[in-house]
Amino acid sequence: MATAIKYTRPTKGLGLSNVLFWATVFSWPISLIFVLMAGDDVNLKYSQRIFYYHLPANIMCFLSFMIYFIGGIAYWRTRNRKWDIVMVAGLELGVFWAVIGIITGAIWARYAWGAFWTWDPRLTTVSIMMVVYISGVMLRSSVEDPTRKAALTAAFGIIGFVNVPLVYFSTRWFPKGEHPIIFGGDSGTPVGLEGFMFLTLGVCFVAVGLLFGWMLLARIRLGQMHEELQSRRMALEGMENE
Amino acid sequence: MGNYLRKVWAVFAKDVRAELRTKDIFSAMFVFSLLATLVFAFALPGKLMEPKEVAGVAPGLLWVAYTFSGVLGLNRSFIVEKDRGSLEGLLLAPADRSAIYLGKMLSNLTFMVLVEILITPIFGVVFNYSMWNPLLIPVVLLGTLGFAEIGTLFAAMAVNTRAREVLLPVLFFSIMLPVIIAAANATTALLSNRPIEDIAGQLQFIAIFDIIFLALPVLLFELVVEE
Repeated sequence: MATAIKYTRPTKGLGLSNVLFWATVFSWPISLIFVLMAGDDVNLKYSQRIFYYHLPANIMCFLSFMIYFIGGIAYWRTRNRKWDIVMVAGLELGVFWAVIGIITGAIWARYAWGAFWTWDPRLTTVSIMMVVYISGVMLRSSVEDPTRKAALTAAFGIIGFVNVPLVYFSTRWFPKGEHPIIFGGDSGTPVGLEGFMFLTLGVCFVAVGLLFGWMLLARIRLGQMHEELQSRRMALEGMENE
Repeated sequence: MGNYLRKVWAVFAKDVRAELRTKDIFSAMFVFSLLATLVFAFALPGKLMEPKEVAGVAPGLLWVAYTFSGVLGLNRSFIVEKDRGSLEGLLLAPADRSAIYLGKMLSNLTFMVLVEILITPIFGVVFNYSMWNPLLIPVVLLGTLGFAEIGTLFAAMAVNTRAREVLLPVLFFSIMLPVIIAAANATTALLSNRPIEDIAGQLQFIAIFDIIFLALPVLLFELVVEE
């Protein structure tokens, strides 16, 4: 019990969570200044600027699902309840960043391609992935028993993550789209990034990454507090029954 | 190994015997897929006149009918056990949990394939469209195997949740989408008489999916059924 209390006490001073929070608060306006200063893209003009948040958001989404997957494997091997907190943090943050990625992408697509949505392999993959993980959230919410909840979440997370490359592979039987490939790859419309644009992308990565880190820590702490609340409630009920 | 396979067979035989006596699952699946076919026919009246239009929609609708009736049977396969209280008995059996999974998966696969054998010609008659192509058999079998593998694991997961009947389709369809894409695509190619080379990629893909999702549930089944 003592260790649990130590976790849940709000951190003061130079706790990692506070550092991340203030770094986020400062880095976002800076990233915005960089985005506004970066030059216009030759073809896409002003609309290209949303890309500086679109790409990091999608990377964070993938990172979250990776955290969920790793948490799932770890829970499966150890049956340790602390991994459940990691899993749910990854799951919920992943859905959040997927929604951000899809909304920013749709706004951009409206200007770049003239439609909010096309059935491009990447767009199809992301949309299926989001549906998969939203059903994961539904799965969690319909289980009462905490141990069973953790077990089912872990199994679903492992299956869902293994499924992602298969989804991507299967989308090649969809008509080809025009999603640009930024790094590597040989298909799609190339988007030329040069000099200052790379710097801007880096700054935005830092800003989004800091926000992500802060949210992850906050969600994990929320999970720990929830856990402790449950155990105290059970202890109280036990005392009443005596 | 022989011992393990005998246990798989015992679970499979138990399910088939129970089904032969009640015919609960099979009749529900068959009637549902029949109704689904009729609903498609009524919902798309204009599409049934032109053979070209039918060729565009029929393969996709066929897979919708397969998946929807399949999910119905998958749901029943564990809910029946749970409601009769026989799931605990099954899990207490002195067998590896993965043997129970494999037995259940095989019985679900059998019921699904039987329903598909019955419904496909009826589908062809209703849509006035030839469904006969020998190459369709591997496509349907591989696709259905994928359904049964993932579906049996998810049915075992969903049976212990509050919204069990609703939850299984939600989990199942989202994971099965790659197989549905590949299988519907291959079926379209076959029924419009495109050469076999056109569907080799899809067949390979579904086979890879089947192998991966045979191995994972065998490993994970223990985790989802433990109390």
